[in-house]
Amino acid sequence: MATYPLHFLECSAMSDGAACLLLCDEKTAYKLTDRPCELYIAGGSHTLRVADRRDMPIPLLPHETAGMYEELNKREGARWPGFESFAAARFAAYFAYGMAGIKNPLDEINLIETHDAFTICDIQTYGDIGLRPYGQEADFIESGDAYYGGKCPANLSGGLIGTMHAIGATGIFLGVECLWQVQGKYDQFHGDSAIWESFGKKKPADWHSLQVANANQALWESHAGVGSHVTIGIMRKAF
Amino acid sequence: MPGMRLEEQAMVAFRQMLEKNGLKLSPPEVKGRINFIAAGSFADHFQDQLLCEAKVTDYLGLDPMCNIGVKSGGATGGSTVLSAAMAIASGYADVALAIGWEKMSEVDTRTGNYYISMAACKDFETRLGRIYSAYYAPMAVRFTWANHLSEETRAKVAVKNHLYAIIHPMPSSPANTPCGMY
Repeated sequence: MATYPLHFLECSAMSDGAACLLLCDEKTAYKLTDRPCELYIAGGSHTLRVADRRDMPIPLLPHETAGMYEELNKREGARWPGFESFAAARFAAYFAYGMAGIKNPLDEINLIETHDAFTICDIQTYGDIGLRPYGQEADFIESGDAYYGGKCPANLSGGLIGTMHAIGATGIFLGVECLWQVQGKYDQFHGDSAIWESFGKKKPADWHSLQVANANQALWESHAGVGSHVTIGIMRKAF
Repeated sequence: MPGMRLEEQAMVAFRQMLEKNGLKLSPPEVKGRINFIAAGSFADHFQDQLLCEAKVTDYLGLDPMCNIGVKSGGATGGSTVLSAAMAIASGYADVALAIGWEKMSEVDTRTGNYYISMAACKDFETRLGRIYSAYYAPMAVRFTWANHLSEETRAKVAVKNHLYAIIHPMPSSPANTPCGMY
């Protein structure tokens, strides 16, 4: 057990690493590559101490309806965001979806990379970004939607828990993984034996691809600790 | 990677971006077009070096291009990309590099946890053991109580992500752990 109720395997490990993305204007993008992607990105923030976050009405995402959270709000001790959710994430999603013209993320986003520093913040995020209504977040994983082959697979990169959390690089690494999926380059960067060897590893004999077929849009979330800062980026195929 | 300096780590990522993505311009041509750099790292304390971005910019051969260091805790990476995006969207730059790194092996785990715990409120949450997981723990307890979340559901997230990491060439914690043994 790391800190009750979180077990060690639910926690990301200290990591060393680096990542980069090259951003450019549209004209330059087509000069640089035959597989450019459009980027929509927005951020949100909230006061650092979770207990100081005042109760507020839930900002509704485009696919949510007025009144849908009335029963949730009547529950004992109910407040939003409280300790259960992150207003910064909801705010960032609200603006990112608005910029990208996304009406229903579960229908329009083909895969996500969330900031799974710990399993709990991963699950909390499912509600914040509208993959399930608040209060039903667990269904996103229990239904199979979060798995490869599911409706909106989450963290096919292995995320922070599996792959890395070199903190300054993490929010860029997740964007890179989204980019590679939308560009159809998952196999190139995960299945090349030379890349495995350059990291001192051997490609598993039973390696298999996690490339999402026809990925058109991918979302990644970059999150600070207690939800004081959250950025949401959306990569959309532009070729 | 342990054993690499932070600038060397940054160079591995930069070279992979320039050389392995099938770009239509050569690496020197792409480098020559970069006119803004947003550089993120969580904490100077890990590397024991302030203004790492100056060292990285030099090491990547991008001096004297403007670089700005970005920090917002665990969201540093996303904020770094946002900063680079704002430079493009505003017309300030044509090509912006968003680069981030961390060298957490420079300190022991207890010290690293303490550094990260300071990204919670120092007057309250940080004092809960001065470790990173301690400020997610109250959220986990509350969420579990409010939404009847089972330990098994949390385990499924962990098992899934550790399993997908097995297929990734760069992971720190790949594992194949049956849920029942969690």
